[in-house]
Amino acid sequence: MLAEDREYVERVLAGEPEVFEQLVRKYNRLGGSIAYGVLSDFHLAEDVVQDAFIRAFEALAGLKEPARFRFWFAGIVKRRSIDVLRQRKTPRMRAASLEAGAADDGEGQALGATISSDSRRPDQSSDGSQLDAAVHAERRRQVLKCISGLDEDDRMVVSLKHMEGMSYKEIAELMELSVSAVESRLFRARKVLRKQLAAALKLDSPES
Amino acid sequence: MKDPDCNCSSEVIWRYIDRELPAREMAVVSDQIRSCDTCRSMYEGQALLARSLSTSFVDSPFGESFVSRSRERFGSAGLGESSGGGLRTIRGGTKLLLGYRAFSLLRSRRALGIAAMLLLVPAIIAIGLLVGSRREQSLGGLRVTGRDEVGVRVAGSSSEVVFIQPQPGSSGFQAGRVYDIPAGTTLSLTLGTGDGGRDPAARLDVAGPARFSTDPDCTVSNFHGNLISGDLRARVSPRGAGESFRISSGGLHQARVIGTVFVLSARDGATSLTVEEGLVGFGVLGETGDYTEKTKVGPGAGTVTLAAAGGLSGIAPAAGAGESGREEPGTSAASSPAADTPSAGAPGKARPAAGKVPETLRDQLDRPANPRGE
Repeated sequence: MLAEDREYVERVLAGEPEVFEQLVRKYNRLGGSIAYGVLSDFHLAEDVVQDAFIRAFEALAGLKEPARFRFWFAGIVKRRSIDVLRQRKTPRMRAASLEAGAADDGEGQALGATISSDSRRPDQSSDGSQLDAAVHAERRRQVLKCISGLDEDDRMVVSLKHMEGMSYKEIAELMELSVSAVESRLFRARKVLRKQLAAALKLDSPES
Repeated sequence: MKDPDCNCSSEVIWRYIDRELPAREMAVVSDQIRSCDTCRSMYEGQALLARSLSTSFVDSPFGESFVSRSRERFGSAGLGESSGGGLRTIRGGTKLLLGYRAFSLLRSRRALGIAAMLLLVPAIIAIGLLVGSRREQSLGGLRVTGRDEVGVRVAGSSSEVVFIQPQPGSSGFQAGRVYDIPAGTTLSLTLGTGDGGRDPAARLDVAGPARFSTDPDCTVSNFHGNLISGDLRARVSPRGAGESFRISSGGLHQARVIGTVFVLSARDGATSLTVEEGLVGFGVLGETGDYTEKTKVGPGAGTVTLAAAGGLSGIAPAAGAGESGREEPGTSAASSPAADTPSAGAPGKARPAAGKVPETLRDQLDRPANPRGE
């Protein structure tokens, strides 16, 4: 994997810029997980990841260890995400009001609408399937809002685990944490999420 | 009942769900979940949460669709434009120059890399053959049609992605890999090549956007596919004794097939099944992967949907699809403990109404199913 990245980088630098698309394919989910972890917003995260790829492309010649493109790119995404977060000047814990039962804010509605439109079933000819789709979209919206309420690092661990499907070790390498720290963060975050989502997911049994 | 020797904790169960335990401990915890009510209850709650968390990211704008959407923006920034040497022109007048020093270093690194590759290639090939023989069994011919590429990665890995270019020829379908199929693209799998003029064991058409994989150890005779999301249409030859053909969707539901043609759709945790010919067992998967049949579906039943919670909808009131199915002794559905559950099929009735077949799937797969994959 690292050798492959090195080859891609070197080919881009040697005059094959189209090879950069392989890196885009390979790492856009990773970038998305990180950006979503910081921003709690898929649309902003997409913009940030696109921007980060452009910046990475422009700065590729300065990458000292092409084999470590993954970590370098992850750093660009994270820094860019934090910049965007600052520019927005919006408290990133907006969704924390979920626990208090606050009404949807604009962001939540937009997100819900996006999920609904993205998840249209092709066979929504019956009311039943439309209802199912609406129920599932609503549940996903609730889960995402609860994830948004997590501490930033916990949220990133959750998104790297559940969006990108990374192992504890991979997350640890990327976030420069120990494996046990990653596991602790995941455990803590899931405990919080379980508590918040107990009613929505009909979770009855105690976790421990 | 509660196992008096049970020492499972929530942390251990999470490591089990995340597949972070060594194989031996995985087996121990698996047994514990089966035998201890407390462990099972804990596991079910945590597994449901894990699924819900993963499902919540399903509609994220990343993956192959991100690449497609980004091309225009990247194109305007000069990405993807080829030019010679170490100089690339960014559209809009900006130029990006490689410094001579950096470029020289890169050249020397490349030389070292080439030398290393010459030494490593035999070893990599040997390792690849060893690994490939164990986890990348070719199941049959694979053909990709459409305008985009299909991303493929080893199941469980987040990074080892390769891409298949759509081309007229076919290549081997590898078990244990996840195929990420973009919109407008269809992945066709001809399972087995047929024997002495016989039809192949099955033909699957998976229409993008979809994600599809198989168990790493599945075979042509005992096929177990997993429709992670999207729609597929399958034509399956009658199964013999001891053979099975199963498609799970999202880890929640499963269709078991006894020689049939059907359309499966996985969306939002629900699975919809439309059977065109034959008979399909349709049921839910427990947390430990155990299958409980909810119904049998035959032609004329329309589209039957299993919700995430296991509730059925869309079942035609007339039951008794068993007559229309070419059920073989020893097949998975026939041997299912729940095989006598109410059937959704209506034998002898007309094919399902066109309006009940998913439109997008019909758009992409609306052609006669050709068992030879031609």
